[in-house]
Amino acid sequence: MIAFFSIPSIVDPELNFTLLTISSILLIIICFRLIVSKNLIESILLMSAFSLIIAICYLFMDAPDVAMTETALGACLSTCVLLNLVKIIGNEGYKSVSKTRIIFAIILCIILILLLTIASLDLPLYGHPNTEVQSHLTKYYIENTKNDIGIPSIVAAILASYRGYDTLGETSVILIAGIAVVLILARRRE
Amino acid sequence: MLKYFSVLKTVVSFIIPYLILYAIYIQLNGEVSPGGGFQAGVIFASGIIAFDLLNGSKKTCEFFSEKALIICGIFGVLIYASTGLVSFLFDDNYLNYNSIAKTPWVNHPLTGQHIGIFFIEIGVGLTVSSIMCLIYLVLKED
Repeated sequence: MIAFFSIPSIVDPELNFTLLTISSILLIIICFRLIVSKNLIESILLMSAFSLIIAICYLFMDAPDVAMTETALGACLSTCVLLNLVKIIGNEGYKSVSKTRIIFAIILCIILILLLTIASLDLPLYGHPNTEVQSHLTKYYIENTKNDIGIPSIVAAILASYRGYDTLGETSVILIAGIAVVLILARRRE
Repeated sequence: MLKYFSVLKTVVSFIIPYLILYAIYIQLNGEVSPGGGFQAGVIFASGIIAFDLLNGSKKTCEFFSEKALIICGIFGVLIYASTGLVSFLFDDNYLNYNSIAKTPWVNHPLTGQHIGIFFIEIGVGLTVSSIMCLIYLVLKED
């Protein structure tokens, strides 16, 4: 039985790392373009492109489930919803950030980047097998899924069987969110 | 919106059945391959949104009205919750699928897990697809 479908296993690790670096640089370029754009439709399309590229990053990191969700939800669905909203509120007539505060914002961003860089030095290496996260619960799931649940996909086993209560709660949260959207916008229709 | 562009219209109308078929494939193969109920629901919803871009919301609302979508969402959560109720018949914990194997027409203990996961994935997919369609259709202008 095939253990788990994963596309990146055919790519060797060196090439994988290079492709990841290229996509990260592309993400940073898109972020800078997003800051200076003054058109709502342009911003929405840039956000869609951001979602698509970060989905490719997830695929290189061996997470096809997350990549699938990001592509469908971030790149397709939310873009359509936001484009509909632009049709209602209009493309023009919103104020961009005034330029008097730009120095304050730059200083704040640099402080934030420094703090996050210092914090990220304590993080474990990406994909390292002996980290704290990988050694206890993940090991249990990988060893016992075949005997307890008997299905090849470990993600589906954790989501549906080991953590059944969590998924029930998430499903109800989605339902409640949809009903809340209808309740808020029902008055506008009348 | 799309009806003035003939190339886009042809491509989108070609792609819609394959999107829905792909969603059904992911839904049924959630235990074997990546993906599951949530991903299948979102892809199904994007197929319906493509139909909406092609034909306008008046035609979409004939098949997927707001009331029907809310009822579908509630029905999905109901399927999920009632799958867990089977374990109460055999003095087990809630959402313990091993008790499905204790019913007389299922013989192997791991088959119970298979059936339980299959049904709750259907519930999740139904809820997610209907609620995503609902949010898109409610936020539309006309």
